[in-house]
Amino acid sequence: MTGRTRTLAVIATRLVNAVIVLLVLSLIIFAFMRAIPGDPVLNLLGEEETTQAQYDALRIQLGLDQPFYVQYWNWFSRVLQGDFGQSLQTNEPVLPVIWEKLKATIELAIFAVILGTIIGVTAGTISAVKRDSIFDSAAMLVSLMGISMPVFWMGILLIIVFSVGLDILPVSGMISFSTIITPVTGFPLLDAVLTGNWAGVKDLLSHLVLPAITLGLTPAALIARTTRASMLEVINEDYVKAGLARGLTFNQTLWRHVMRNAMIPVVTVIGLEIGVYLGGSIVTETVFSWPGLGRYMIDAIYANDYPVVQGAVLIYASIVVLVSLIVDLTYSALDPRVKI
Amino acid sequence: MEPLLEVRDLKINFYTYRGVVKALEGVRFSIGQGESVGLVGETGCGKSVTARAIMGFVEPPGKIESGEILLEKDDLLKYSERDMRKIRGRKISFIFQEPKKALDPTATVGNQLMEAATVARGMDRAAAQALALETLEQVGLGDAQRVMQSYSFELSGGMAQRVMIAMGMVGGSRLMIADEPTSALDVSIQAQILRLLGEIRSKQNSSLLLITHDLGVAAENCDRIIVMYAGRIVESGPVREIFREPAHPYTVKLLNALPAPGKTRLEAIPGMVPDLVDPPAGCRFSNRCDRASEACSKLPPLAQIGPDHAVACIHPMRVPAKAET
Ligand SMILES: Nc1ncnc2c1ncn2[C@@H]1O[C@H](COP(=O)(O)OP(=O)(O)OP(=O)(O)O)[C@@H](O)[C@H]1O
Ligand SMILES: [Mg+2]
Repeated sequence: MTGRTRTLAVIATRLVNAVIVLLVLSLIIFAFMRAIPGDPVLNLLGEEETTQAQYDALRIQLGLDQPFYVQYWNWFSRVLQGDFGQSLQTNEPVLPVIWEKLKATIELAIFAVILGTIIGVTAGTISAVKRDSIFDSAAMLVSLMGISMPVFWMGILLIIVFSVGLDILPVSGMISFSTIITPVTGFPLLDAVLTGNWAGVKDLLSHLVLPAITLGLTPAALIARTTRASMLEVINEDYVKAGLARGLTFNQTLWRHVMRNAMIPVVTVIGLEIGVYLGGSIVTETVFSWPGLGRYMIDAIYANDYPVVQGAVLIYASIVVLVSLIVDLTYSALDPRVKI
Repeated sequence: MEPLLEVRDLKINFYTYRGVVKALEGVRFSIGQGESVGLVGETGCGKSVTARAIMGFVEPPGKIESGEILLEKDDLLKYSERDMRKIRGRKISFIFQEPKKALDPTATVGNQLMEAATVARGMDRAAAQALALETLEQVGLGDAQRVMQSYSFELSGGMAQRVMIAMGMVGGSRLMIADEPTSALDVSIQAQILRLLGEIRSKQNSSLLLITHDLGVAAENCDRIIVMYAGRIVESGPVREIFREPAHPYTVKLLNALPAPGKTRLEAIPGMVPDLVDPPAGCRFSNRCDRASEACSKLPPLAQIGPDHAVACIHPMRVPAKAET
């Protein structure tokens, strides 16, 4: 097999595995939603003034009287056709709403990932090169705090300092009431940039900063520590000495031979962190009232809105699967020994 | 012979938690233009530290306490890191014990070979590539195009070592330092690599410092041998003299430990190498030596006993022949 067909074969296998994972997961979440307390029918009708007849009628209408496996099959066969059903509360189709909310989440997550990676890799690199310096000790102390501090606590702390105390950043939300963005792609920040709405960009960024830091800090801390450890290991390799021995400067050796090798474990960590990012995004969105998928899903859980929760979980899981595939592809691009 | 490299009274300590490791003391030797010198001794005697010192690679906890390393009469120990850069690769090249570890696993051979020419010597890419291809062929890697595109994990140990030798040639170095260049290789390949080193040296009239713990290897590939013991040079001289008329009791024991046709028993050297944190005050070999006496607690100087033969021993096997000097 040539390299390319082998790569395609591996991707295909990965996708098949992914489908199986998603299938099992959807079954679990389907059962789980029906096991937790609360009754969507009662939520819709209200506890008072509802007759048994009304209750039964709505239950049948929603198909909730059917046996579990029939319900699952009805839902699942439609999902396969791209129909995630309607929200029990609003009757809106689930998928378009999820997609709208997801845009806000993606904007936040991408910023957090970029922020976390830049901060983490930079701090880790400086720490390794200036080993045992004051910077190193300080960075490692901060990163230890970053790893140990719960996301919601970090968020609240930032709000108290920057929004309440210093009053330089907004407390919550994604955008001020007065700011109007002309939709192009549906990603507000991207649209503001595309339409040259710089006041809008500024407003959006000021809302984005704190949640992005909150979400990015834990991964940044872990990335910093991984980068440092990995760099220190690579710096001691013979091929780094060999680089110096053929007349390169230390910095040339660093860029040409240390970085790429040191990044291999870091990419793995970033890949593993994607789940942490998404989990953290749900908490962050709640703390900052960010209008993303996480907050939408939490509300749906409280309202026993089965189709919304099922859809959202499935989308989250698909993102994790997709991103880890991308990470593996990056990995094989970095390391010629790895042929996926 | 005009010396290319001259090491004078080099003293290096390592400041470890166990105490000060006196790794090198009073090391002095020289390497002539086009000469091939073997640096021989047991493990831990300071061969690699010597080589690293010449490359300017002594890092904490190691410290060069005193001495001079003269390359064409210029003291490298006075050089800044910037100046050393111009020496490394261009004047002195280094060949590692484990060639596959000396190549960046994520960069192609070509990338690293050309780097030696472009980054270190300021050649343009096209010239660097032509030079790299030509050099690979000179070190016996016929399919040079393919080797250029290979990664270290795709090469055998022998091929990787040829690449490393080519690396030194691309830089145009005058002195190759090879630290146990074959001990990580297949036995069948070892002789080939050593022969290649010899060929290159005579073709380019460059010099070679071959570090090995095998006196036999040094004898076959070198003009002159330096014997080290526990951080000191105990004897140095031309191969023939070292083999025919060894002067230091340690050299004699090393020779007796060599396998030879008709020899049924190899003699191991009894006793242990001294701890370099607290070495004997005088001759460091005295605690393992049959000829040792009271006098050996005083440091024996490295004395000439022939035109090119020196020994550091109070009771040498061969008395300094006054007639020769
Ligand atoms: N980084 C270091 N820290 C402490 N001691 C060191 C260090 N490097 C070398 N030494 C000491 O210096 C001495 C000489 O070591 P060196 O590596 O030069 O030996 P060698 O002759 O090359 O041995 P081998 O045949 O095993 O390669 C040893 O006693 C060793 O303990
Ligand atoms: Mg060594």
